[in-house]
Amino acid sequence: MRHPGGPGPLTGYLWMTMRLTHVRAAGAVAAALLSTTLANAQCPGDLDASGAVDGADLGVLLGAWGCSGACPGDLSNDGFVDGTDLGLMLAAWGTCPPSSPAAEVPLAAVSLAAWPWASWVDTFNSNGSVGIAIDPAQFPDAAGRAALLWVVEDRSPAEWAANAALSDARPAGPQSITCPSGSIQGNVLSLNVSGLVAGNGDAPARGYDLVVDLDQDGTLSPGDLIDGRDGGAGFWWTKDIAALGPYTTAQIASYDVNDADIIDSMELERIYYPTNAPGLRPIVAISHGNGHNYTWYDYLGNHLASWGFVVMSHQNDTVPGIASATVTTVEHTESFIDQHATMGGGVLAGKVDVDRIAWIGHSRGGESVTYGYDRLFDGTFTSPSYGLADIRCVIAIAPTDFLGTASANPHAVPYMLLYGAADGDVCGCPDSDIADSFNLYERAVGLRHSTYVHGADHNDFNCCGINDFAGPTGTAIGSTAAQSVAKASILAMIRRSMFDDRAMEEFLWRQNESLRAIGQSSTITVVREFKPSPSTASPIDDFQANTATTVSTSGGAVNATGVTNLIEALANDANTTFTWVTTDPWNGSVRNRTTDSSRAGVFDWTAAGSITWSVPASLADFSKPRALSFRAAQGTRHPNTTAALGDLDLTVTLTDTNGLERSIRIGTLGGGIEEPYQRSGFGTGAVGWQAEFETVRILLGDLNSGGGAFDLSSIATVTFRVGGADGSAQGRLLIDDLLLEN
Amino acid sequence: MTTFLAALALATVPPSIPAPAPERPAAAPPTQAPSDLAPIPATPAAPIAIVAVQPFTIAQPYTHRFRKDGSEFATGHLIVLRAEAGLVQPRQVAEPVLCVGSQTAERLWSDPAKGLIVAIVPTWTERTADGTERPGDPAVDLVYFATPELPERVDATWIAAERARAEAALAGGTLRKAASREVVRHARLDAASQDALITRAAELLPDPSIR
Repeated sequence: MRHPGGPGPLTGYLWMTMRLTHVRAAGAVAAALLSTTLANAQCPGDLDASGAVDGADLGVLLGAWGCSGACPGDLSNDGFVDGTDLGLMLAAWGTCPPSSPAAEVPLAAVSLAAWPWASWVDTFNSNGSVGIAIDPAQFPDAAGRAALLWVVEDRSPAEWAANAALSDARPAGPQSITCPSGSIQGNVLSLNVSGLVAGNGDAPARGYDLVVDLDQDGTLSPGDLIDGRDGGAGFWWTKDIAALGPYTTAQIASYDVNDADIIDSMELERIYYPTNAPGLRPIVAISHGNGHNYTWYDYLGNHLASWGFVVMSHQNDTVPGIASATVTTVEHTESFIDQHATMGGGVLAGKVDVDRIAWIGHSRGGESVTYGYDRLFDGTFTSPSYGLADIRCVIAIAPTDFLGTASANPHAVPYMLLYGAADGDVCGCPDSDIADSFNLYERAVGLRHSTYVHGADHNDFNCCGINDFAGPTGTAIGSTAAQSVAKASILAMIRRSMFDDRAMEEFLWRQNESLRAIGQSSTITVVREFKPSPSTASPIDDFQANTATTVSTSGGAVNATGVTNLIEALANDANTTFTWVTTDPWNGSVRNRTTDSSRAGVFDWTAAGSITWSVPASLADFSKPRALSFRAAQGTRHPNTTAALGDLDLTVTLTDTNGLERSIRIGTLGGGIEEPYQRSGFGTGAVGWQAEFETVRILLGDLNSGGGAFDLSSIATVTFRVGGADGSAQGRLLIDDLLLEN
Repeated sequence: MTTFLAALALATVPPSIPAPAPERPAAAPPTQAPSDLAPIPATPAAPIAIVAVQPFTIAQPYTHRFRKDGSEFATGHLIVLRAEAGLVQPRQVAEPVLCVGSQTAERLWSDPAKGLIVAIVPTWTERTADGTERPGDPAVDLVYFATPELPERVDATWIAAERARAEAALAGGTLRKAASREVVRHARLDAASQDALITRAAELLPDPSIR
């Protein structure tokens, strides 16, 4: 019986799928059918996959002439090898047309509750699952088709060019799937992750490439879909970065460096190191705060050592002040480098990478590591043992800002700020710049990240400091929970900075609702900021130039409709209270001194409105950058903020030069702009504390979801739509750093 | 080659991001938990009492880091003070600078619960009313907590201004000089080094458990 219908464009695929199914089902291999596994799916008559339809193929066809059922040469897929097939072969006679390579497409994804229905991220926790989003609209050739889904150990482009054979990393091998039809909505598949190994030596994440093997030939071949061939992995399968890493650790509990450059009473160090890690290990130095102790950071020392770092925590001369503390920071670093080979009987000899150093400082120590970098930058401190380039990142935990703009300045070093919203000491209070940690963060001009933890206080980030919690009753998360956040975010930052670990980068910018360490409780609220190095981002508007509200940094027009009180200026709370008054539009933005320069925009609304940025032609191609990002914070104690507490939502719309739009509600990506921590003080009435800037990073590839004629390569405007049907009914937002990120 | 059944592959739930929680109406502000970190009292302030004083010498002089214009010293006093917690508590923001006469003190240890501070006061000179000079004595001269600042940033001019404020407050009755009637005067300590001095200073503490 002949099948109804004629041959369609998928004949070759269907034919081969049937053959493979047959072989597997029968459990036998027929020599006559073996060659069919070579068939070129892009050139159906090319039965031997030689790149041409020629006599050899004709021989195969004639050899099967009259065959019925599963037969080689049944090009019409009607169950018979006959004149119809011969006609198709002759029509295709000659060299096959050039075939396109397998397409590099995003596959690994998380599903979203609203359009674009999926976000093609790369990092996944190994206690969860991996979504596979094959958008039927973008890849119609795959829609509805059976395929094999392969998970292959991450290969470089060169490795893929040299070896296209697929080898599945899972014990059970590739997974049969049916690519979804219709819409991606509700059709994100789940990767079978059974047996998938997470982590790779020091690296918490192991990279895998994903292949949708549409012709099911076990080879990456034209027509297949791949995620991860063109650089980076298709996805990263990640261990718990809040948990101990792969190495066992040991400790030199107290070592006296006896250095003439360090005052006698400040010469002790505690050293944590991995005992079984191969090769040279980077250095992490920890500088404690005032009244703190170098022995108070075992949680962090052991954690980082277990992930392959040699950690040195030293006595820090904080009581006289920051300059004194900075001397101990820079000199202990030098002493450690100079003496490590003999410490502990030589256990570190030949095992320390003195060219990779991270500095971590807490409170006054956080300022001392920042000032230490500034001194290296300015040349007021030099060392024969290390230099500016060896400091790969600086991490400040609730630092003070005694020294101000010129000296408490991270310059372009990758910089991280870790801060607890209930800090009762370096409180972020409006009456003193010294207590405003974010001043230092705003001065950082390189890659930078902040982790802002609700319910954590200053001394939650060490073992033994006084309970300084200053927040709403019942919101304290305690030191164990705070330290789980600290361990994860610090590890992610150091690995991103030292090793360009892109798997870890997602822990620095994805909304906490979307990605957090496995060991971090889901009930902890964490607000994240991330800004890449200027070399990898182009500002559409960062408010630093073209200071009129009608012109963006990039020179395009800015048009505001329906919103009120739009201004841009230095983002500096100008009085000493957090009480909302119209004369202090930057209320809560304790992020600048008057000598600083970080500007931002702010506006509010109680009805539908929008702000539209015209995109200059030089930036109009959004198809190349990876993301469109911005940061925003709710206005502290503003009536619109307090009238309806919650994460604040809005819609971002891109319009191409043909007038076609794509819009995404930022809440879809994980909660929107965080509801302010409900801390009181420095004013009366409504509560709320310092501005909690949060980065929203929209992956531009997500906006292709659903296909269509929308043209990412020619974007005319970016619009923030607020109120009405586009998000929160009312609100006040501080906004900044509208960037295209590569 | 082994394959899974498609049905099995779809049996697990793909990762997803939850929809945002709805906003909620404003409610009464939550109760704020009190911090254990005592607020800083107004300055100038005085200790409650001078508990102990011990003159010392050290064989290896070292630089007094608790003032911008500090110089090397080889003699001075160890002192133990009792003060209210807000003055004793170490903190990251500026602390009231501990001064004795025209000298700043180096805070060594503190115990807010017991209200104790142990400090080093390098030798300084006091000018008397008749214009002559005498060595300063912590058991006699004014001990006070000055304006919060980093000690490494203060100099003689700053100290003089703070001292004048303290003396004015004393004269005006808003500052009460620390009690020193029961001060324990120890015999001179001759230490070899800063480390040795600090170690011996611990012996001044009335309760060893706070060391």
